[in-house]
Amino acid sequence: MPKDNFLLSVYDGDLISARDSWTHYTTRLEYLSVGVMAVTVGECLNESLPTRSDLTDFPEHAVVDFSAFQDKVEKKSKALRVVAEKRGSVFRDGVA
Amino acid sequence: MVGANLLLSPSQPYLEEARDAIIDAIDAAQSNKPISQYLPENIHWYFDKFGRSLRDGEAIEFATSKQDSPARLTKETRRKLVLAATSATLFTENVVLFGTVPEADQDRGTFQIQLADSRKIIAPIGEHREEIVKAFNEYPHGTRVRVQGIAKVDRAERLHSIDSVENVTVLEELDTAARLDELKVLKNGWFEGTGKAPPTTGLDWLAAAFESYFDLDQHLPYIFPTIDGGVRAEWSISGHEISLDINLSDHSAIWHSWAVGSDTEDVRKLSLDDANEWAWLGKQIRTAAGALAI
Repeated sequence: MPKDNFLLSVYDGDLISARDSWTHYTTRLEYLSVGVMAVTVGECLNESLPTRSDLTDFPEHAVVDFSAFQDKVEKKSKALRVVAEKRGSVFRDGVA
Repeated sequence: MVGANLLLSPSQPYLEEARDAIIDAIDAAQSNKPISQYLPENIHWYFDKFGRSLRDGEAIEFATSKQDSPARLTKETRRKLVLAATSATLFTENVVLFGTVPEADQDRGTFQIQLADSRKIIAPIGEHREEIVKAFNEYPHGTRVRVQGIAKVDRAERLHSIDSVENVTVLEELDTAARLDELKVLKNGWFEGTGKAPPTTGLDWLAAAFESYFDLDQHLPYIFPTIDGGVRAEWSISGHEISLDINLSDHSAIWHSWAVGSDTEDVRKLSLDDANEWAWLGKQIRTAAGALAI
């Protein structure tokens, strides 16, 4: 987390679909990925984690802000992971 | 009076001379001196079998009359002795490989093991038909095997072929040694151009530590690389989200456990060179799983 100054980069699901975000990540940014997981703004707010757009990289870029909880990053990130895993992957490479 | 005459065999001096030449050759290999002045090249090949089972850190010591410290045959000196022969391009080594089985040819009696870096190596099926067929059938699900055998390796220590297979084990999905072996293929920059590759020596240390100190019959963790070149082990057990961030250089680790939905979390720094810390870790996992009263 310190790598990104306690900001978790995400795609804004209101502006881009899960499939298109994966395509953007793997072809435009040329990174590796097997799929996409998702959390809602509400689920972030349940953990008191604010979200906001961050247009510096590309229009659909957003961040989840952990900076107010620098000593709780582990717990907060696990909480988000639990709800995301419960939802399941919203896009997987090779799955129609 | 009848007395026994103890006669020395005429070959005795030659045997002693041969013994000294072999020990001197081992000492020369250890000291990075020319080996050929002690042993003719056609003898070097005998070291391909002698000492093959030596592992990192192990040695066979031979007393020498020329100096106080013994000559030491190690994995490294054995390799130097075999390859000192100019004609030697390959030598054999005991190996343990992890991979999947995409192909098995019952007619030829061979199978392919596909390693984490996608290389495919052919090996004899031998006595291990049941395990090979099972792994072959489960290939689409990613089922891996652990193959222990004798392989030919070239001067650059690249795996060339597998001569014989001593043991084949079909692995659990979360087998820790196989997963840590997979992480060896990562290069610097693996994550968004910045992820640091975990050190191979550190991955080998952690695999050995799990095998020595962690009860592999209990809940196994999911294992992931971290961008700083470490490894993270994660357990999701009975509503507990547990993680262990491991530093592969100094063998320290940060333990974190959170009971989902609660406000309490448990954080502890561990030294994984200490068997007691592994015992503590194992107890926490068993406790989370409900095997022990909390």
